[in-house]
Amino acid sequence: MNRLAQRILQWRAWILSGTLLLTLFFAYQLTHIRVNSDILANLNPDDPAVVLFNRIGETYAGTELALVGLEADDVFTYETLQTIHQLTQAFSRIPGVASVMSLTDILDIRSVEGGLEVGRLIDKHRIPRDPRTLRQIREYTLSRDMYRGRIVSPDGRITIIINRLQQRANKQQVATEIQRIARELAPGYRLYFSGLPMQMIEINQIIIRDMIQLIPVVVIMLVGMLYFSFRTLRGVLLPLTTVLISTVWAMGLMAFLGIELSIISNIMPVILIAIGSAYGIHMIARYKEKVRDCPDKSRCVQQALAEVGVPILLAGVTTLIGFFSFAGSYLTSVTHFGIFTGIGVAFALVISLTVIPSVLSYLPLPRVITQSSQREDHLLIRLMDRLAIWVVHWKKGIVWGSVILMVVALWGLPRLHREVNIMEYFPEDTDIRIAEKMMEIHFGGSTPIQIVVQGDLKHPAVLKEMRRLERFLKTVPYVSQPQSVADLICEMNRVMNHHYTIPATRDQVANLWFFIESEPIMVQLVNADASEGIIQANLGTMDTKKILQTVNRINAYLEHRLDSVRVMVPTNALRQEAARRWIFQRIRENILWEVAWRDAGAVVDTLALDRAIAAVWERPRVSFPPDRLEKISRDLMFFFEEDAEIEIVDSWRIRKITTRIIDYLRNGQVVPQETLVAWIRQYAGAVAREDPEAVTETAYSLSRMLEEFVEYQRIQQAVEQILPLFPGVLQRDRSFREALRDCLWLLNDDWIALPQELANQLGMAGEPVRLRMIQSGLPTIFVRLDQSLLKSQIQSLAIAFGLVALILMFQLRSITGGLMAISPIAITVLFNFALMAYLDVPLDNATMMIASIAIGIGIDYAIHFTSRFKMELERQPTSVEALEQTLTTTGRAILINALSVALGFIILVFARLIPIQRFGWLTATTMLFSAGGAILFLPALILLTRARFVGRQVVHNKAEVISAPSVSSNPKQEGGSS
Amino acid sequence: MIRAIGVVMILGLLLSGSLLAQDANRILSRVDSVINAPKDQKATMKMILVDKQGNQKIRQAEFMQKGSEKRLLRFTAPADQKGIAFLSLPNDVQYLYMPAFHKVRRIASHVKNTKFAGTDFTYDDLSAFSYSRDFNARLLETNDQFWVLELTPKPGVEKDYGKLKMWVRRDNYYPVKVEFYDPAGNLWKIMERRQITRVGNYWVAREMEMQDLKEQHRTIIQLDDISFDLNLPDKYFTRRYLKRGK
Repeated sequence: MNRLAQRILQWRAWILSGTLLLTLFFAYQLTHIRVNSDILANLNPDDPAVVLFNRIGETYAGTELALVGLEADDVFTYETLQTIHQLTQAFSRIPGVASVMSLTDILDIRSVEGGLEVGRLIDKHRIPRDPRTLRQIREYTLSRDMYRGRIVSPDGRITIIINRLQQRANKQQVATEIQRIARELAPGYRLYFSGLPMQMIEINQIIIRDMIQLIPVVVIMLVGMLYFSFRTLRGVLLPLTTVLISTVWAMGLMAFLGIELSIISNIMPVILIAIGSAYGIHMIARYKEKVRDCPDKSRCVQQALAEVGVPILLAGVTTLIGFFSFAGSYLTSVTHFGIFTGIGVAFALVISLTVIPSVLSYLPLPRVITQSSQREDHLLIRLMDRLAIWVVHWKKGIVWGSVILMVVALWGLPRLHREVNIMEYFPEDTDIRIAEKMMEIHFGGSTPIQIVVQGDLKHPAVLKEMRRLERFLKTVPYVSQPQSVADLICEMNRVMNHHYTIPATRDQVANLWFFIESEPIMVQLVNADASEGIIQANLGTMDTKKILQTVNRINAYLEHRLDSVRVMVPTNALRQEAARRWIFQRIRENILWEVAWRDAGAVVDTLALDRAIAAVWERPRVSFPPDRLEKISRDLMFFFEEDAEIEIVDSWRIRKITTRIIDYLRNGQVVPQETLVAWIRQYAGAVAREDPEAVTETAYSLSRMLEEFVEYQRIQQAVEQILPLFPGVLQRDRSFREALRDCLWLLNDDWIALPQELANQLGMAGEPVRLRMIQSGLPTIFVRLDQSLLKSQIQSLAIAFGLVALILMFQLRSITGGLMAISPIAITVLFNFALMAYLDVPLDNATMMIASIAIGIGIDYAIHFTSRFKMELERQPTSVEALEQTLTTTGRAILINALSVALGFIILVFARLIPIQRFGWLTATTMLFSAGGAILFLPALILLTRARFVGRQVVHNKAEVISAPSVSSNPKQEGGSS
Repeated sequence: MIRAIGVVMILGLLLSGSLLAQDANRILSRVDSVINAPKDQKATMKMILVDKQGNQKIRQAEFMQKGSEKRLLRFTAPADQKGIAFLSLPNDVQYLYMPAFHKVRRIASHVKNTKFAGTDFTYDDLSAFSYSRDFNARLLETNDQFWVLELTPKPGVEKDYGKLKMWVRRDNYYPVKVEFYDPAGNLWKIMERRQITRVGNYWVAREMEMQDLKEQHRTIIQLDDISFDLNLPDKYFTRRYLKRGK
């Protein structure tokens, strides 16, 4: 060390000019450091779950949605709708916005007499003023699943405008413009902003705000602390410059390597400034001590450096280990924070050991220490004296007390819970949380669950599986609003055919698909060639535990209840009991799920339900009520008048043929096609002879119509029969009756997609259908975060503990010594977790870092203490004197250092992110704990066990201890020089 | 007809020495009459839909039109959408036939800005091209080849566009390019007519492209086997025929 010190002084000019150049270089790099405000860009990019999540976000535009929520007493007033319309128009004109969906511009498909109406829910050019019309629109909108809880809250007070941004747009800029316009055009309304682009604005603000506001505070704190310690300009400037330069270097290096600053790494400068100053302080302090003995300043510097170099290096390396132990965390932000703070610490260390001595060697010798500071020191020294006596006296008490505390701490550990929901990181007054809460209350949550479906999405079997999963999802607690292309197909089918089901054939699906293909919503639900799509649902809880349960429940369904290979078999070929059982069970499950999400407590006689389903399966005779027959008769007349391939001119003939058909239906029969042909020939006359093809075509059209009437009636009848099995509330619920109809509709299908296994058992073959469903979405990421949180915690703790213990064992040349020296910090880590457990502070991605940082920084105290204590034991006649001497010198330094580092960390409670706040005060607390451990517990333990590694210990009795204070009356005489 | 136009143009040049004086609105009504000149027409149509990733979807259809307001479009490809047919009649009456359901349904599309069948054309863009009915024109520029017109919606006409900019060929009044601007003045869509050739007595663009800059999506429509003035009977444009058509 001595020779190294000599070299450093020889090269001082090179060192100073090199430092200046490097600082200029990194400062220049710093000018183009980029901020990354995309929280999702923070996830480990190698994890398959993240890869899937990112792909889904990009493919289905999920990461490109900027939502604006607007709250009014009632959304359905002329003024509010007009405002929504204006906002919609204005948003769509922002460059970078691809499409806008709102109440005044949203797809609406409804059946009207004789056809369907495709258009918009509300005609933006003619927003009604009349209250009755507005009420009708309100009722209609709130009655449709497509809108209620999706675009408008069920109470009609909040509506959402969904902006889809172009993929390559500057999301933040566009989102800012959306916010500006929203505030300008809707001044009287409460506004909410949600979606990733909106969140990015706020996160960006948080990152920059925290840096701009916290750095000056920590600098002022440091200046105050340095002035308090040294009371000289150089004492303030040198350590301060050191940390500032090392911060510039570390962050400049980040910028140089193209690493973006993000939500956790933004506190790096604050922490570097708070902890990086210690090395410079030690260097200057030792130099000051030396000044009294040597007149030649160069020799002074050299001696000081030679003496203090190793301890500083050791302290720095342990701190570095603490930070480096985060490398490989699931959040790249944490990894970057660990690595670059570690590098920053290394920079501070190197600068303290090279630049500071070089500068000191140029500066004139300092004045001798003033009186006032000695007086203050005196106070502290007296306190330390007392402490020494107290420790010696109460060593057993201290050790056993600590053991009891440890037991209490261990007892509390199981209460420690984890928190991985990134949304929870934001304070409740941020737009992110306000919007989140609003979404949770009015729209069933804003955390999207996404199930990726792979297969032929136009195949009815695939779509039916999707619908089935959606039914299941509705029964999972906190999950609501499942939506997929299957719903749009059902919706179209309902409009075309009056039942909300997946059509029977692929061609039918394709026909309906054609109609909605160009709707803006489609890009959010299905890919371009319909080979993949997603089912989205909202998760209405922020609680990590519940989120994890939900993910697991859905995964369990996908693993155990989804048959991914199917075989299409004709229904009428299914004679075997096993096949019937399978079909009935599916229908029963679907029905029970429809019951469960409406009324979780409802009790249903499943055996009776099975019997009822079996009865419908047998296709009993259908009988039409008179009003139904009348309606059918009108439909048939309309058919002959407008649609029929053959034109029957006279209306009396049309009436005649209609009546004959109705007569058959009244008896529950469909007129055979040949009979129809005969009748048509009879009534169409000459036209039929001219165009015989038209006759058969008309007969075909008619028989299809009639079959549909019968199918519909069969299911309606079944609904009436089954309905009494359910609680009264459900019986009266129209939507439940419709759901029953749609569940039972399976019994009309001519084809059924049996699981391959079952089909093999039954010896049936047919067209195979494959599908795959994988869960994605933020909740699955939370699960991974949760798994990795524990892993990273254990991993970083093990690395930090292991390496630090090794260093200590090496330094003390004793295994027990190493273990003993590490014990205060081990206890500190334990207490930290216990504190978190008892105070309900969760383990998250920031609090996860405390333990390792505490080890890295806190171990310095144990190192300083043991090395001094060891030295003093050799010098002082008794252990108590050795302890007194140690505590009044090193002990005091430890306390001051711990206080100042704690002060640096405590500044983080002013940060915006909740985990950073917790991280700040908890780390500050652990600093005090570890200082306390080093000056109270460690000496007590060493004295009690009479450990050998510190050297010879002189045993004392009580009387000797009490008489001890006389020794400490003039500590500086003996302890000052070393 | 085109000869007549040519004569008018030459006369105009000779008489006034400049066409700048020609009323922009008159150019526009000539544009309408050039596009809607045929009594009836029949063609096969290929629609190429290109999304922002460059994925293509191809649809083919048979197309029939009588006058400017009766149109029938029957899809022939892709296979799973074959047979789907649209019939548009005057007064916004439209019918849809879905072969897989064997059903005809009237579509009341009360909002015309809905995009038609996955293309970048809205029902409004496709409804008979009669610019002069809906827009006022102003002549922005005249060069060797084109008149450049600016079209703004007439008062009381509801359009999603703030203005249109149209390049009209001076030799035959054919509009080769139209730019659609949103009401804030941002360019939104671009329509181009290409391969403008003469078939019989009429000028026709064999290719038409509509590009939606906001959605980053475009549609190319190619016409083939075009024939004009076939005296298509009215019964082709009825519900019954919609269902039967082969």
